[in-house]
Amino acid sequence: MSIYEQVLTFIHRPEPESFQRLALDVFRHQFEAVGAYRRYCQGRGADPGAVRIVDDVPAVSNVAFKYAELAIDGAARSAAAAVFLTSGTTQGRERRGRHIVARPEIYRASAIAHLRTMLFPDARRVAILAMHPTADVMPESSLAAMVSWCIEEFGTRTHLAAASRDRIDVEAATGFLAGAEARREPVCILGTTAAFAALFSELSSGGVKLRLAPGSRMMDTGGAKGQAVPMQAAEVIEQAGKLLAIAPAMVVNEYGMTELCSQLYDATAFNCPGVSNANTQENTKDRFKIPPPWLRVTARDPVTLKPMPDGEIGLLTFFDLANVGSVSAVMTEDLGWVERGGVRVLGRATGGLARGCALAIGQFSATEAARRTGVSPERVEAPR
Amino acid sequence: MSVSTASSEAQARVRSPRAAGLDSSRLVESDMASAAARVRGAENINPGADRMARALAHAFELWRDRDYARRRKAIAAIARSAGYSVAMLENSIDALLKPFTSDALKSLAARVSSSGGIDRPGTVGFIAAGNVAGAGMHEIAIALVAGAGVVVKTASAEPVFFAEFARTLAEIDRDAGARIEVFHWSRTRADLSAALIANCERVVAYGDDLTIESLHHRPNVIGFGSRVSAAVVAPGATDPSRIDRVAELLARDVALFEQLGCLSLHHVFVVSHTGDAARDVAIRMSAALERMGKSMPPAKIPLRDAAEIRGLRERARWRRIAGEPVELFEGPRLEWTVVFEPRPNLFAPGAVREDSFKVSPGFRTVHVTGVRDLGEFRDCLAGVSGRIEAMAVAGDESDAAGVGATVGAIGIPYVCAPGEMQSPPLDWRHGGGGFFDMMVGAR
Repeated sequence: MSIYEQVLTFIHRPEPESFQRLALDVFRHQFEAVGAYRRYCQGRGADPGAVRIVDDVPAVSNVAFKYAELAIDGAARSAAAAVFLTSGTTQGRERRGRHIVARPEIYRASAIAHLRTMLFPDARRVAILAMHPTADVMPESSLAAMVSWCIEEFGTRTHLAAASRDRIDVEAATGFLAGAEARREPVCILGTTAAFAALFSELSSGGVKLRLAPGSRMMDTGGAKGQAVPMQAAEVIEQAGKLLAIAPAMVVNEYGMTELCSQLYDATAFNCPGVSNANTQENTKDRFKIPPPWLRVTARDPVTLKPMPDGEIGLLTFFDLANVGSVSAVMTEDLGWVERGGVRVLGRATGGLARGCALAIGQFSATEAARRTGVSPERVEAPR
Repeated sequence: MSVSTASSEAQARVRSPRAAGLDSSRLVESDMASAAARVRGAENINPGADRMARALAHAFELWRDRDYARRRKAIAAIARSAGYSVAMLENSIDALLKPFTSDALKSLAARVSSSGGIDRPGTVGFIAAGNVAGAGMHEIAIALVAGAGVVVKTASAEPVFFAEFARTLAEIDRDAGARIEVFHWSRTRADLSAALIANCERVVAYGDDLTIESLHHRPNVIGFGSRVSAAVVAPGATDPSRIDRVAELLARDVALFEQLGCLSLHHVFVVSHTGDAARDVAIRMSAALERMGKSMPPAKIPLRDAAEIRGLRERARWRRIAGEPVELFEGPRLEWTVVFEPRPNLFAPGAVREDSFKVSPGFRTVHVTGVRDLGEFRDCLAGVSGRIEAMAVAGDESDAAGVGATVGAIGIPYVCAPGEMQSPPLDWRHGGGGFFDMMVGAR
């Protein structure tokens, strides 16, 4: 069985005890087949023969996808491959990251399997409103691919993508939701947190409150990204309840990024009943996220790059088996911690100390960025 | 010179919790009103500019002595609480206090006396920064010499330096010491900060303590905006006989105060037609930073800053792997980092002027970039116009006119030689000079 088939098999039938062995096989494959990654590993003195545990596999920074072709040799020219681009908003005009996915069916399998666990644990098909373009409109967007797959896999014939490349059609989205309300039909709403902010703003300003049918749910992603005034997670949950009558447990935030083929979702009473007292319906601020079994998450000490003990903050670092055709070990610029299998995401690391008689350097940078982009300096960077 | 003994009354005016038995939970808003009234001088004799200058000169003289007990105590406490090395703090405090000579203070007093007609505030409050011990000392000294009463709110992270210094002053001259009171409270006590602002005619805020942005809305608050510092190395300084010394001094400017002050060096521009000299400077600065790690051990880097440095390194590393002409020189465990580029990215696709000046995450992380000529150097700074506080200039006589004209045209408050960035003179026009003009009078 090829390494790709082994990964696909693991996604369909996870066997946690075989993760370590498979991960090391995936690393060796990538060392052989991904030229830029091999050079990086060699530069760090990492010999695949000497790497015995997955935590010792050299992780590339997610910024590496901006600068190098981190895919198995020849993948970029393969008709079967999909190429996804990062949104490019993080650093203004800096180049966009490029994730070449040699085997999109593995990406799809990973995305669908964990969506099924975390957003559709009740195994029902529902009407779907996407406040994001689908893959046919935005083929370079990994989120668009996920939206399309989600509609195919979990949607009824009633679905709408109420967004183009340039804008969210809030009016169409509101009309779709009003129709579902009238029919007492549960809806799943997918979109960026910014899109939800726009929807909530429109509903609030119009004095509209919808009572969506029980079983309705929503998934937001991207956090504060793209929002002038960031809407915090707790506010998203509160507004969903107030304006759409979606219960807190049915509001599930996703953490994902173009550079990974797997995602994490909030654990709630809907998808992980009893998993953690911290994630009860009442607690909307401090939710843990749950990765799929084929995604190992560690928080790394930024100085030593070693994994931190459970509960201690570090740079979130992933080993994603579903990235088998590119690079599986990816270190992000997001801080967070891992505890008993759950992950808390704190967001992008910016300098903590003030600089003497100046504002904190993060504020300096943000102010500079704001001057260039017109985006509020208060925004917090978020993945995707 | 003898040191007079402080009265218990004078000592009590230094109201840091440890000294006066107060803790911030016991402070109330009316304490700020009382403090402002006391330092304003209702009950005290105003010692006048000359006497204050003499007392301060004596205090600074004591504080320049590394064996002075109060200084030793302050440095040990700061090192312990902030995770800085004592050696780094010793060198940083030496540099900070160097300009406060008797002559400089006397000259300041003369200037104050000769501009007696200006309308100066009678009380100035200071909200100090926690990460750079002594940041604000220039303004405090100026305010005292100019006759203002001073109320200092120290940062929670660094409550020691000004409290100890004020005690020294009170010991030397009771009336001079009565013009300054030092408090500390946590940033959660917004009531006390508001009371400070309400009861002082002017308040100077450093760092992001209490969020300068919100304080800026108060008409009597002076905030020093976000500023950093840079250096330019002209061809004369890259001569083989000089380059090592220049690199050593620039590395020192990077390392002092762990690069967290507005006078800290973030980006070095080296005028070099080929870029080779710039690379030489980068290599030599790397070697100097490595050596300095032994003589001035680096700080324990806070997590978020470490993460930021890690991100900067990885970006440079992958740009290099992608074939861009960037080189990363790095010390062990994030101790120091030099990112070298032979040319600014002014002309890269999508580049903008702001991108050509790099603000470092601090903790001995510096960018070194070659520029073809002074015109290109000027272009690199165009995007951060008005935000450069200091510029170290290295060169020889043949460079002086050109560099002087270029730097002068940019408009930088403090221009100095390498190694002097943390030692601006007393008439430094910090933040553009608004505070200095208010207290001393415009030139």
